[in-house]
Amino acid sequence: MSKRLLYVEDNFADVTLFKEFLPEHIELMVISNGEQAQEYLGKLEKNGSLLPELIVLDINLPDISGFELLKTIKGSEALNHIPTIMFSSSSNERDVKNAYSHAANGYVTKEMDIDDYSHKLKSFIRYWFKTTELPEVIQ
Amino acid sequence: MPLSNLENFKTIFNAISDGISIIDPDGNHIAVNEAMTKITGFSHEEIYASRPPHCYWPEEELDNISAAFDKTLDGASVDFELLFKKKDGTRFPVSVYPSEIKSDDGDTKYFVATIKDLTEHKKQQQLLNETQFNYQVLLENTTELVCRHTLDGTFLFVSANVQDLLGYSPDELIGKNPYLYHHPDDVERIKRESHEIAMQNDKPPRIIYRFRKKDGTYLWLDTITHPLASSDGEVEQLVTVSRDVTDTKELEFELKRNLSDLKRSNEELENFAYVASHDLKEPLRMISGFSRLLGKKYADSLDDVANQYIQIIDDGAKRLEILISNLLSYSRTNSKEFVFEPTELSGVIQEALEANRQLLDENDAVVNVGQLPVLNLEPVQIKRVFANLIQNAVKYRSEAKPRIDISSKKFKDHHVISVRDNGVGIQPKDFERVFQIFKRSVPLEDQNGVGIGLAICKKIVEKHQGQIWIEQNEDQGVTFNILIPDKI
Repeated sequence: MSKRLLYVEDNFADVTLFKEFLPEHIELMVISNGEQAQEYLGKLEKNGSLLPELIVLDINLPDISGFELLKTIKGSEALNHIPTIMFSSSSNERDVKNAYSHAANGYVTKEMDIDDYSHKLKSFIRYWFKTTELPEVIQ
Repeated sequence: MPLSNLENFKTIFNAISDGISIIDPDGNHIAVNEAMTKITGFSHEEIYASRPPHCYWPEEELDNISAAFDKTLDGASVDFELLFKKKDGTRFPVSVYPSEIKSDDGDTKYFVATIKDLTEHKKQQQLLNETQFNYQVLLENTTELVCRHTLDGTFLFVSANVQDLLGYSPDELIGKNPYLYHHPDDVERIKRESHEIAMQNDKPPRIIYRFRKKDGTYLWLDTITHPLASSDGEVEQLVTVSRDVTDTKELEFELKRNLSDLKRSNEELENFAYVASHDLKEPLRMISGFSRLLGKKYADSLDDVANQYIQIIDDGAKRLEILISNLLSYSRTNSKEFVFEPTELSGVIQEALEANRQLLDENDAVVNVGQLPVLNLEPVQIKRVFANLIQNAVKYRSEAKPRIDISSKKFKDHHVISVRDNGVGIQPKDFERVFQIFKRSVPLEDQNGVGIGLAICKKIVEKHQGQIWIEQNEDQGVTFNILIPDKI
């Protein structure tokens, strides 16, 4: 069964790279701005549709910032259980602290070296899907 | 004491400090006391032998002397200021008080003249006049405002230059209290830091404050207040000496403004460097990532030339990445808040050596660390400096086995830490240049070249209010010296 991943990222090149190294059997939803992402999640919640099992957020988005979006997700009872990872090229301490203070489940930097990037991306996605996988019975 | 006692009379006559001469109506001396001989320098015999005009009468004064005689004969009883002549010819001022002694039948029996030597008196007078003149000249020509005040500050005297300085005449201020003219924001400070201190009769306090001119604008005055105390130490009046420091004050304000402008512009520049280097990394990541991806994914369908081009793009991107990382690191060092704490330098050096352990071992380097002090340092940052210097010493080694000597020397208020190597050395013309951003003294041979390393070292040392400089060793290599003040 495939896993659902929501990636909020406005940069086409980043999305392309992300897709390039994304492990198989993942159903990827890409949204390129914060408000649309909020809207999308709100709709899923209302309709009782299947929620993503992992959310990956860029920090710099064209409208609201990734942090704002993170706040909304972690402030929502219906969504706050979804592992949400900040994925950014910034290694600024302030950004990292900001992420965790808003209850991000992880902060991953976009590596400069393509091999490192690919390795990191695959690892954290596998890690979070594995960690949050529930036993068959409950599913 | 009966006057008839001639001995007694003589004793008194000679004991008197003023000269006395008794002259008969023909002008001949009947008696002259000791003082008269002392004053004039002529002996009794010489004076007695003298006939008018007498030996102690200067030729040029004869008219005045005879006029004095005439006046005395007319019954005047006044002092005459005359010039007399000493035996050596010098003239000296005297005050002569002649009186006429008449016989019972009313004829002049003789004259008694008391002669006071005015030389000292005149000298004192002149001195006094000069001193007064000096004070006057000083008061009239000084640019400093001099005032005398009662204990509550009321003006008792104001020097005339107040007119030029403040626009008031002295009379407009005398009797007024200066506090009426002080800038409201300065009043409390003047009371506290100047007025009250001066009343304690200790060191005269000095204060800079604003005084309102007649035209309503304010002048900055630099005032020293001296207490005038009575002999028992009781302060009775105050004297203030004030200087116009408006120009200096304005310069000071301008300097402060410029400094804050400079600080802001530096902050903006640091912020710019940070943002620029961060934002530059984004597109660079794409160039590097996609060129590699292209090379990997399509290697088989591209020819060798195309693959080589991809390699060139990749290399360029990597180089650019290092430059940007270094720039980021430099701007971070710049904007970082340094927290100084007493730090054992030897511990910091050990950590810096550990960080380079592999490099040191691979090169079989010998490191000799001397006695090192405890200094007020930002330990993490200063470790970066030494790690960098140690790394350079090995990386730019000569044929000889690398040898690093780290030592410290104490000076009056600072220490100089030296890192001496036996490497390839640096051309003296590059001693300054190597500390500049992106400058290196050796050709770019490896991707991890320092470039900005020494610029960061310099920045860190400067943040310790220290200095870093290079010295040529006599035999081989260079010594990096780092001066760290004891108090930061």
